[in-house]
Amino acid sequence: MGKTPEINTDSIKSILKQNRKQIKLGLAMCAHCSLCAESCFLFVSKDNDPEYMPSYKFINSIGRLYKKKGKVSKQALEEMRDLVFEKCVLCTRCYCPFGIDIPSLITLGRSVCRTHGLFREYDR
Amino acid sequence: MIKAKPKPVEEILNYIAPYQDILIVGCGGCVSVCLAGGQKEVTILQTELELARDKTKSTGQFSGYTVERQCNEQYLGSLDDMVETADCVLSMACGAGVQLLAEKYPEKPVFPAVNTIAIGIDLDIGLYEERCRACGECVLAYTAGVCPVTRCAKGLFNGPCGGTNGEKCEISADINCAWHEIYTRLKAQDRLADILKIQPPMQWQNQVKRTIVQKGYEQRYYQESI
Amino acid sequence: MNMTAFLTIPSIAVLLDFIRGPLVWLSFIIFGLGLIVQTFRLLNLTQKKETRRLAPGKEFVPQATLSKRECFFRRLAFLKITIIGQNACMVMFSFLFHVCLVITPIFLLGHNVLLDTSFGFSFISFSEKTSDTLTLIVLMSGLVFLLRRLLLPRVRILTTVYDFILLFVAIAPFLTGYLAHHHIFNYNIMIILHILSGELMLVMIPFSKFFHMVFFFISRFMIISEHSMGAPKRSWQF
Repeated sequence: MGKTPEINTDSIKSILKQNRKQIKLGLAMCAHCSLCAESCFLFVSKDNDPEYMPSYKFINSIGRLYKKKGKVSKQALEEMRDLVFEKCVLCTRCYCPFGIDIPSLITLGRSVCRTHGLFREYDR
Repeated sequence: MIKAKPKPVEEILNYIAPYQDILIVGCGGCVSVCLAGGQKEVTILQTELELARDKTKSTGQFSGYTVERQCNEQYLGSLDDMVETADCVLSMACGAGVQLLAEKYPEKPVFPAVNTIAIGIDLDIGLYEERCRACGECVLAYTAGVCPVTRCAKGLFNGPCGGTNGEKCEISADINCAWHEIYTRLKAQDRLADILKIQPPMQWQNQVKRTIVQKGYEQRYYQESI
Repeated sequence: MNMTAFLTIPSIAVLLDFIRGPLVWLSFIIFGLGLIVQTFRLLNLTQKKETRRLAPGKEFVPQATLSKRECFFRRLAFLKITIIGQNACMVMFSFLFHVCLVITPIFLLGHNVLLDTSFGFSFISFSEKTSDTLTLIVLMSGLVFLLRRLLLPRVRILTTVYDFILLFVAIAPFLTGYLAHHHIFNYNIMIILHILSGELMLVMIPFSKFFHMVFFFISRFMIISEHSMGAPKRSWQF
């Protein structure tokens, strides 16, 4: 790795701004109940590793970006890449008792990563 | 993505009748997206089969597991132990996934649990429509984004057949004529010249196992030319 | 100075009258108006979505119908794919907690007496014993939630200080109400704390995570998704 371009806070901010309502609502309504866990087959197949929980993935990607207003370090963004690309296959089957659209929020996290050249590298 | 539909339970029951320990393997890729073969469908199928077993008072043990993708051997490693103890495997992946499983575990019977139908689009939740037959020679550039292979009953490449019934296809009044759509869309874009060129017939490569080598990987896989 | 003497100091008494009087009405007004405004804002984020219909000739052929008994057993078996089958314990505590949380205060005798003296009408009331049991259920489920947050890695990884505050705010009216009713500790202090915590919770409902009280119904029953219930006809419009 180590080829992440400098963090462009403005480009992150524009994604955050465009989707502000959705991100805000998702973060505001998540009760941190962890009932989404079992709906993720990766959570199940990785021995119930909590980092595979759908809620954990969106809170710590697009959620963290939103809370920090886009001001994150390169390293933090690379960690987010691992979360939304390596730990999620976007099968869009997450369950949320409140009906939060978690896949869309993870998609937003992926969009931000892509603007910085971070995505899943299958040929790594 | 690839769209599939679960097979009728009765059909699956026929496959697995001689076996005791049955492993159902889901796939987290396309079939999960189209609600046909993800983790949830694995549980549904397992429940269906258990209900059928209890009803007929037969025996049989079922277990389920979902892998990230069945079309890549890299993700199948975790299955080794499970397959070892199973008598047969039910794969809920697309045809490609089923075949890779069958190749990887040649000593075990591997059965498909879904019908792989098409490469299609999501119209709505649980509603999908075919758009592509993966013919391998995309002509969408000159057909205004309407695929004559998928949409025309005859797969014609150079204009409609004589049976065109106004805007409809001759095989059914419910099907739009693909070539009528190609014509109207190209006309609106002022690109009618695109279909004046005669397109050579398809090389029908799909009669052999097609191999895809992505750009940049040629050197790695192709033999050196002499 | 003992507590009862403290509460009778004139300036403190005025404050207590305010907490017991106008502040109650203010909280209810903020709760009611807040709920209406927030619900409207949420609905504004949704839009109607037309359901596609397949062309005629593709009619759905239903499977052979099953007997009622068979249907029942099938449904029971298929609970496995729902959250009830995956996390039965949590679903049970959660269900009990939420139901008791809502019905206990509405049908509590003490509240209905207050309602009757103020407006001359009241709801039917549970017996004291029933209310006591329901309150204990809320407290016990609250304890379960707390222990989950502290002990289960998957919940702990998501937990923030705010989650503890919310749990505390939700539990406080029940805890103080229970203690006051049974005259444990100082009754006068407890009942003031009970009123204050109740007011705090009411005010917080529309403007905090407690708003899931409305969000749940809109998003699970009105928005089309794999997990929606009923016959939803709308989608998000972000």
